[in-house]
Amino acid sequence: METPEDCGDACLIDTKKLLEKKDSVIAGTGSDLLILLTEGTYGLFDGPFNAIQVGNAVLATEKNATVVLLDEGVYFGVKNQDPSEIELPNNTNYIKDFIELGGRILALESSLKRRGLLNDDLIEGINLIDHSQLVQEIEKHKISLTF
Amino acid sequence: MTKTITLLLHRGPYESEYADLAVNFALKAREKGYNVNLWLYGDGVWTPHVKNEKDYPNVGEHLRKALKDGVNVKICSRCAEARDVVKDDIIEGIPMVGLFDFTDWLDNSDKVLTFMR
Amino acid sequence: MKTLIEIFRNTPPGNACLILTKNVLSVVYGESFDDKIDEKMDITTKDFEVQLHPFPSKIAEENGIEGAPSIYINRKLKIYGVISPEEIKGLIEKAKPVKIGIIITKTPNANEDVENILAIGEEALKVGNQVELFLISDGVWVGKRGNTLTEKRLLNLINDGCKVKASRMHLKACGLNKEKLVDGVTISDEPYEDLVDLVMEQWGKVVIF
Repeated sequence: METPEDCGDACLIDTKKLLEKKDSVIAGTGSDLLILLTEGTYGLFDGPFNAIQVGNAVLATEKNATVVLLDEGVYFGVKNQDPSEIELPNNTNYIKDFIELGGRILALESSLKRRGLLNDDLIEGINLIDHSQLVQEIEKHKISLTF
Repeated sequence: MTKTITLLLHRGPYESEYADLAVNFALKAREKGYNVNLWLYGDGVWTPHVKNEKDYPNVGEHLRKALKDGVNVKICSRCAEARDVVKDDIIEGIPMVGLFDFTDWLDNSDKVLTFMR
Repeated sequence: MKTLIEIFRNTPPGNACLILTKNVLSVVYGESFDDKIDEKMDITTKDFEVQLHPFPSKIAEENGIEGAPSIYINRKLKIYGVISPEEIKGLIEKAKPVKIGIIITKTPNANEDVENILAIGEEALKVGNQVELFLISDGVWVGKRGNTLTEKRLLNLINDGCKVKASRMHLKACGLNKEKLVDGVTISDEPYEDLVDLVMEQWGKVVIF
């Protein structure tokens, strides 16, 4: 398992350090990354965890990154997560860091709705989009990763 | 200028076709003269663990060919450490590195593909 | 692919409308632009198609144009008011159609992927982009004739200009063949060869599911 305590090498993004130098992070330069996150449950924790690590690393290098939660990925953005008793790192912390570092998180409204979720169920700072806006995001970003 | 593609593999060998898809794509792209990077992430780090010869085609063999053909392959050190995948157990010539090596690749890539979905 | 610029002007066109028209034409004709040109007709050149529309009008209404003078580039970007030739050039660049390639590796009914992909395709075509789907691995099942979730929408996409290719070796592995596929799905005999070329040379953007 890959909890932050397990590693301590450069592969895991130390967002605390990044936040300290946040003022020097310039948005809008370089190649932009779109991450399409289609998994978001703790049952399949490794994909989403690794996805947000890439997102935070890209922001750390002063580039832009956008995460779109779609399909099962919308579960990733739900409020009040506490996986401490199943001994997994809390997604919420990484999402908050991502947003604070200037990353954008969007969620596909139709994916949310069909799962009985509402905008209010999501962590603050996540905006909803429809499919036509998803196309715009694909157009806007140079490259995309799907997790 | 030669174009560059970065491939991310997030699945292990045998559990699905993704390792084969990624390595086959890498081999073909290299054959056609592109710069090819292959980032082994998550369970993707198990792929170079398929090290020994087998009497059937296997992804380890294809990965060795990719390395020989000049595909750049790197392993996420955090993912490897978590799974106790160590240097001596895997195909030679694949560095275990931090995530910023991958974001460097992203910066210098014309296209990127993920193999897990 | 030609850039479509639609200019919406009041009837009769006022000064602002005429200046905007001139600015568009100076971009269309480049160095050979003659300031004295007072076009009243639609223009087609090698790179551009310029259409003049009155405002208000049915076509303005249909396209959600809310005022004049305004221009609508590639049915994608609407700009109201008089803007300079330089600004127009920048916007043309922004409104360029994109060729979006989507690689599908999953079966259609297991999760939401394919529904989202079909919706991405539909929306992308609506705004003038080109879309191509490449079916590989389990994704070849997306091309299956008679699938109640996908067949109709896939056919519509194909009719609207979306190209769909399926990997021959994966079709074969799954016991599928041309007859079992939705009409219009073509077969890629050398899938890796084709896919590398599409990803590296043909598609502006690529997404994989």
